[in-house]
Amino acid sequence: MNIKLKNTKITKITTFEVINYSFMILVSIIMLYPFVNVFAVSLSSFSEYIKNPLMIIPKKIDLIAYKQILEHPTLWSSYKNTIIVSVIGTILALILYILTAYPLTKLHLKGRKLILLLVLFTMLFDGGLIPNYLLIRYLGLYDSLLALILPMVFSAFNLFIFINYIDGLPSSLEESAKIDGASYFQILVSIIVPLCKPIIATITLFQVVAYWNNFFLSVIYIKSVDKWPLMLFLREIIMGARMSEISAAGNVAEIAQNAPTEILQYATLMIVMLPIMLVYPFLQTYFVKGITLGAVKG
Amino acid sequence: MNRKILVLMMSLVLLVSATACSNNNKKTSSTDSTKEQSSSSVENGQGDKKSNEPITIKMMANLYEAELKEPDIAFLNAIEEKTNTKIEIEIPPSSGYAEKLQLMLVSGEYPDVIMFQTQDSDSYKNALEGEVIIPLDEYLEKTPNLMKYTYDASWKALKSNTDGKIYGVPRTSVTRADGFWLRKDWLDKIGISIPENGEITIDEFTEIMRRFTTDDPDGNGINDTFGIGVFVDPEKVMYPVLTSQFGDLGWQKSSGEFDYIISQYNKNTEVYKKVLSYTRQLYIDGILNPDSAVSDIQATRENFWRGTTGSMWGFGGDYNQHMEELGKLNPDARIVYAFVENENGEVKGTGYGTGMWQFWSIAATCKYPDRVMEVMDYALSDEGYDMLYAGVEGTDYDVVNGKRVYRDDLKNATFRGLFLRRAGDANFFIKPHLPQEQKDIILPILEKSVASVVRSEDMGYVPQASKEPTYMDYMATMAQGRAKILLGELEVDAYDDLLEGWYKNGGQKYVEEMNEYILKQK
Repeated sequence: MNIKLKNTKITKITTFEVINYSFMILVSIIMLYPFVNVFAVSLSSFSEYIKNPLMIIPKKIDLIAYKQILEHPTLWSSYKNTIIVSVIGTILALILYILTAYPLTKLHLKGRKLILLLVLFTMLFDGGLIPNYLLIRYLGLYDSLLALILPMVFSAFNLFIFINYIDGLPSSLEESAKIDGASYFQILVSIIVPLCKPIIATITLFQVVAYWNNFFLSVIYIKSVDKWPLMLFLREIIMGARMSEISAAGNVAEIAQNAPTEILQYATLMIVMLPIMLVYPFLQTYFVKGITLGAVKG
Repeated sequence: MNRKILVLMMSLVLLVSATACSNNNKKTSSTDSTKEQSSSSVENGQGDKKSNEPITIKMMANLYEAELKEPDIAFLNAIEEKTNTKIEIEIPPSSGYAEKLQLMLVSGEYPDVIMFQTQDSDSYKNALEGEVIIPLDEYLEKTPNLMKYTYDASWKALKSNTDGKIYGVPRTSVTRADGFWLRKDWLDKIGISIPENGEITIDEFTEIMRRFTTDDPDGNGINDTFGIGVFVDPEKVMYPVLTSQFGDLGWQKSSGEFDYIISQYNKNTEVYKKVLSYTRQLYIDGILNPDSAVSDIQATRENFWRGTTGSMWGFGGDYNQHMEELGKLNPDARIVYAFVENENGEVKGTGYGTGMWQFWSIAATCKYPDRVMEVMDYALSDEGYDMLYAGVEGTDYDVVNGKRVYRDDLKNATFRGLFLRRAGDANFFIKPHLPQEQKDIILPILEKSVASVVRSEDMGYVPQASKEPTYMDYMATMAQGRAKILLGELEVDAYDDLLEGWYKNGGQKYVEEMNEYILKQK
């Protein structure tokens, strides 16, 4: 019986490839190690961590840290707040971007240049921390979730990405709709928005990640613990101990006793990272696309 | 063209009206606050006595835990009841307290009581300059407990440079000079014992460190132990192992060029070089855990618990925690506390100059500053202080047969620990629920830590010269140089050049300003 080897290509492995792959594997290990270590430590008891802080595989699984952190009342309220802020903020942002970007692509729009200039101005200059803080207070937004949503709802950078994208769409589609008697709003809703799906996905990712990761707004605008977002909770768990050590001066040892242990810090890290990590691989393509869009045309 | 002019004019009109609006707002708010203040001063005289309604006191504090737990709530309830007040505490995230404080100060809306971190912080200076906080001298006359149980140094530190008045109530930090925790089971193994009074000489200490490193005290047959581990200071240079033992006692009287000097900046003595030299040698000999150069305090503790190091500088009140953590990995582990004598055979150590850690100021908008002071005074009275230390019956303990029995599920009382404290009370560091035999171990250590303190005369003051860019740049060079000396990369004598450079780069002004400050306090 004759066996025919069909379509088999014997490729030669070059030295470059060997070095390249080895190097890439090494880089991946370096990148992955801290993550695996954090995961392993979060699954161990504190004494196991003390024995071997650099572990990759936990010797004895102990869920005490997760138990403690999941029972922490602030975790759940902060999770809820972050989800509310991220979802509402992103939806609001998309509506604003679309409604602003589309008219700004029309060259005949009166005052277009001035508006663009004003938008560009916000990219270069910022009111500063104190004026922003006073504004939020005077608007009555202090200690409300809106204070976390509104300051980040509109970014000039994202708007320019949107404008560029819409600008690049074939004008014939719009023209044919116009001939059929469609109004600008109808064109926007039934033609432009469906064609903008890729850019909407990209900006969604940008916004969600920005909202998810932001902690600074909450540090300055939020008073009540039940309105803390997740990142502030994480920061408090991780930084709280360190800050108390620094400021304690002569009393270092006295305070450090109450510090959250590493296992608790690591477990919190895992819980906070998980959702965004699960979403990331699926939206990664858009993320890269978004960056290139900004780079080429922005 | 015309259209452009029109747009420009409209923008200008908008801009002007916006500015005008904000000016109006400012005016209104400042008038409001003046009104409020004047009305409050009227009320101050009689208002609070007229009604029996509890007054509300709003506090802003950095408590490291965002939510108060039952023991704190119970304590506050008890204090409220005793002083006919209602206390509301705003606890901003501890990692952003400084920013929050600054922003609160510019907002114009102040809580009644504000916690400041240090008397040198920008926020405190701004509050003083902006007259956001009030002097407390007149109220202090009516608060005997606060006066009795606070270090004089703390009051001095809180005196304003401009009017000489006191602007804060210190949260006293019991000033102490810590010694070293040593592994007792390791000492037994190498056949060395610590005398009853816990005092050992520098040579004995060094010998212990050396043998902890070389004699395999953990008996695992591997040469994997170190005598001691230390951690890095805020400039990321490791703390020297021994300091006061060589005569480094902070800012002290001097017979040299300046009236007061710290050995680190003293060109006329070899004290600081001895300090550097000792640690450097331990590092070179492999006695000092090399991780020390990058460790923070937590990592150093963990190395001690892990059995990597046989000793660590530390607080005497940590006995319980060390025993608990060590016991998890090695049930036979025991520890003992030792004070290292100086070259003259005395036990002395530098204490934190001001004897306080954080303080409370009262805002100018507070309607009842006298009542706030009453609350604070009550907390340091015998009755109040007992609650502050031991907690509240029914929450922290129950009384059975006339004796206090502490509850097993005792939770942290962060506010109680950070509110106020009696000066010199070593007992405060011993948790009330500990068994008597543990208290008997800890108390003598703490008493000695408190008794052996030599106070640095600087009162935590930071001269303005330290804010100069040249000085700040040079401090980085200096830190790098110190690190290199300690790690054996530079000879100890290199410190002379570093110090010379320091004086040339703003150090001279620094020492002069510090001297001026210290002499003013005298």
